[in-house]
Amino acid sequence: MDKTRTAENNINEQDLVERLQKGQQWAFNILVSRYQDRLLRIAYGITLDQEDSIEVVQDVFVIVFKKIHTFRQDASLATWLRKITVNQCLNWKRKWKRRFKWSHDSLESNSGKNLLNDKNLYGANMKNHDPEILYQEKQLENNLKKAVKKLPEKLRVVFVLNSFEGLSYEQIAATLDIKKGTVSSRLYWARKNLMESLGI
Amino acid sequence: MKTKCSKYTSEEISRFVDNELFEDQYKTLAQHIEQCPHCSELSNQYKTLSTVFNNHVHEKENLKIDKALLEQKFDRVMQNHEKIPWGNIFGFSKKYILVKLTSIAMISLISLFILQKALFTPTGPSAIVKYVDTDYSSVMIIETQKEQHTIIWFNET
Ligand SMILES: [Zn+2]
Repeated sequence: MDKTRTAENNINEQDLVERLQKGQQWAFNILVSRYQDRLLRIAYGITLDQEDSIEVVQDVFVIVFKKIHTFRQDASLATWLRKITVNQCLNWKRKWKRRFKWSHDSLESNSGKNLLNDKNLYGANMKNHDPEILYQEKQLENNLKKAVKKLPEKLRVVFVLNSFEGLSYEQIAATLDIKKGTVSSRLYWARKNLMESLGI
Repeated sequence: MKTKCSKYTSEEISRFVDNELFEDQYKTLAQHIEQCPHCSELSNQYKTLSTVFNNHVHEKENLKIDKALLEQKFDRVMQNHEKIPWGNIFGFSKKYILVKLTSIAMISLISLFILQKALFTPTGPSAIVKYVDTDYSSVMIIETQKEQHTIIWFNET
């Protein structure tokens, strides 16, 4: 049995934070393996760029490494990490770099209307291997990605936290320091916006 | 769906999908959805948006941190901790900020002047000649297509 793995799975959050605050490198490794996937998904959802999201999350862990002694456990570690990740994404320095790229993304006319209504897609037959359906799924996925890219940042962040983390409105509100009602309306606007982009 | 439902708003359906209604409201709406094709379709579409986006991200297999690189960064932070006095780690000295602001202002002014022309011409910016990225700043050298101006873009991190 791998000893590190066992310890990694057993250590609880409070213990982990204490070890992190003592600067134990071992604890940081656990932190990284425990949270990287979740944070990377959030970062990817917001930046929609693989390379950028990896760099953002790398920076997040460096910030945590520097600031862990300021962490007072009144919020959970996960909330704190999510908060830093969202902020890092929004402040991402490469934004200015992206301004120089010409955007050729355009939504095709048949973007998603029929796809989203197709009962075969993402319905009962999630694991469909019919090439036609797989192709349609891919197309819907691509169009949705473009639509998410067009969402205003505030709406996108809420949509990402809801879709990937399955957080309650309360938890999203705590992460973003906004009211629960604001979460509800932003989510609704995000969905409405996405459907419009997809031509529905 | 063209015909709107008069009983529930789309935001209510959105909250229903997220299980963010009070229990009795949730139950009533759940019953309504079985009868109302509009609300039923809308709630399915909302769910599908999240499912598809979620699937898209889960398919990203290369979404992984480079642990060796991260450890290098940790080491660098540790070294800096030893060099810099504690009071200075999370705040910058006033003098440093002043220098920083002045340099940003100067460079923004010059670049704005040049960029205004470069960005709004139909050809737009072209090649990024060189890009340097450090812990403290990023510098990008660009050459515009038509007039072949060299632009130095400076960014404090
Ligand atoms: Zn209805």
